[in-house]
Amino acid sequence: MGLTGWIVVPAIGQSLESGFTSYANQAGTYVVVESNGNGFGQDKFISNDTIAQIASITGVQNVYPVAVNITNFYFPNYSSNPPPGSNGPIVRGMTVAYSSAVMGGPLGFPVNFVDLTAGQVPTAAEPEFIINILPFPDFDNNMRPFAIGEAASVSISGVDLTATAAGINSYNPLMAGIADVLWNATLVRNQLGEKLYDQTFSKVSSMIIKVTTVGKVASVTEQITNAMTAYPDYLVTYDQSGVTDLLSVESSTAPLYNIIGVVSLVSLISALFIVSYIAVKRRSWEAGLLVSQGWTWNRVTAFFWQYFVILAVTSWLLSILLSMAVSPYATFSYQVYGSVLQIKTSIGLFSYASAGLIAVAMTAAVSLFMKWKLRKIGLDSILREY
Amino acid sequence: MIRLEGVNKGFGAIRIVEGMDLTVEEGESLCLLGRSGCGKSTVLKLMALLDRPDSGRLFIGENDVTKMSDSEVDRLRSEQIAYTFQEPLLIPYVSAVENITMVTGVPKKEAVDMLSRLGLSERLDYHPNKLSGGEKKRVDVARAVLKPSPILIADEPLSNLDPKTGSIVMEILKSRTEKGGILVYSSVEPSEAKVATQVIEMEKK
Repeated sequence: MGLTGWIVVPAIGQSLESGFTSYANQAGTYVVVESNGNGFGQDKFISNDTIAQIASITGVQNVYPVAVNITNFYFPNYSSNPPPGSNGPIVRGMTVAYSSAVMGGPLGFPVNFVDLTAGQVPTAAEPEFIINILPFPDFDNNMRPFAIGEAASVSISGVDLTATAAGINSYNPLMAGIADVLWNATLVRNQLGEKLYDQTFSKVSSMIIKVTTVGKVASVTEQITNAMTAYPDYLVTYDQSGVTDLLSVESSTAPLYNIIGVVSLVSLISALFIVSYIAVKRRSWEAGLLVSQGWTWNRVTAFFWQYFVILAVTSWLLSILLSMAVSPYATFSYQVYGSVLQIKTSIGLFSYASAGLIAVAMTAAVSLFMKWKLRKIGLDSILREY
Repeated sequence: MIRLEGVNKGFGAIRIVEGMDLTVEEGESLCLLGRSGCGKSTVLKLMALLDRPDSGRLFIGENDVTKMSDSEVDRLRSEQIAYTFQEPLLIPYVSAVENITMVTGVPKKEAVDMLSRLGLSERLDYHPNKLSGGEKKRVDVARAVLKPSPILIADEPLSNLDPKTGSIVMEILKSRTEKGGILVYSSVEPSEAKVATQVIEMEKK
């Protein structure tokens, strides 16, 4: 049980720590630059020099510039909220402008942030799009759900087509503001033609910036904000509360994991020593017998050590089996940023190997302790215990 | 040769052995004769290097044991001395034969032959808890006798044995001296001291 504890408990701690760190570095290390909401089609798009300047900031791992434009959705029979004093909703044709971007490519929405919760990725052959923001806001700011497979008349840079919702991207509160709708780049290029496509999706109006570690997010954000002073229509944002939480988790739990590891180790060593000591004490007369029959104390110590090693290796093998059986149940779930972070306990080879080494080392220590103790007691006293 | 010069031994305030002098040469046998509690076992344990004298000098051959380190005494005991207990001390979870082969390392055949000679041919595979007191005693004696050591020390080797078996055991013990070995044993029966070349009568203090 002690060996199993040593294998499983620190493994839980390490898994939690690496799980949190991994999550923190994947989800909590992004800074977004986007329009401040004062209208689209800013006079000043973000220049290549500014992008390069931001990319050179210490702590910035990657910069994803995104060209964002408008897709107009036309709803012919839209039922809007009744105005004050009217008897019922007004049904009319309605055009709603949604921010949109293409997926992938140099100025596209990064495909590594496309993780569909429903539907499928649009193909280049079909006029399909992905909903990137939920709930999908409409003209009246009602939350109008857009179902997968629902068709809509849309217009991109004056080119009209009927398109279908193919999939829904997982909601990321930080990224969702960049584009409401995501298109297949090849489809749009085919529909718009090269020239119009370049005019529509060649100017950078958003950026996603990857920071190396969660601890650097705040300082990098400050430097990005400084680099963006010439762009008053842009906001530099990051998930401040999320980063704070993650930093807190990392800073407060890391020492806890270390304590768990040390406590496990001390408990294991204590348990092994006590069990072995009791075993030795109960059988000390055997050591006395062997010495009286001409065995040297070194030979007796080696004999008992071999005996303990057999017990230790057996215990170790059993503890490995027990650890393998127990670890699947050590899965932890955390509510983070509207989703669930699941961390499974993963037991590394080091845990197994160190448990074996500790067990064998303890048997050697106990054997030597036994030799010292029994010699101190004296043969005559030992043999009297028989 | 075993030589004691002014050896003293006690436990706390109780003095068991005081100023004891004796010498046993190769080929000789010594019997310590006396009633229970007179200190025979204490002297035998000193000679068997299972304990150390409080004062005085103890020689095994030319080695002054009182001046040797624990490791040196260990080695000397391992090479020179075989010992049997007054109360037979056997490992409970192995058989009679294994109690001999495991501890002494002698071939099984030698152990079987010796146990058979001592009338235990039908008890070879018995564990100690299935043996009588006398049978345990014989296994204990066989184990000591089979150890190829020049000195054999036996604490009341004939206790719990019937006269016939006792004479066989004594014959086996005595045979060690015929090859130049030393036999030291203890007894409460004066008749058992007759075969010894030297007898020391001890009295309770």
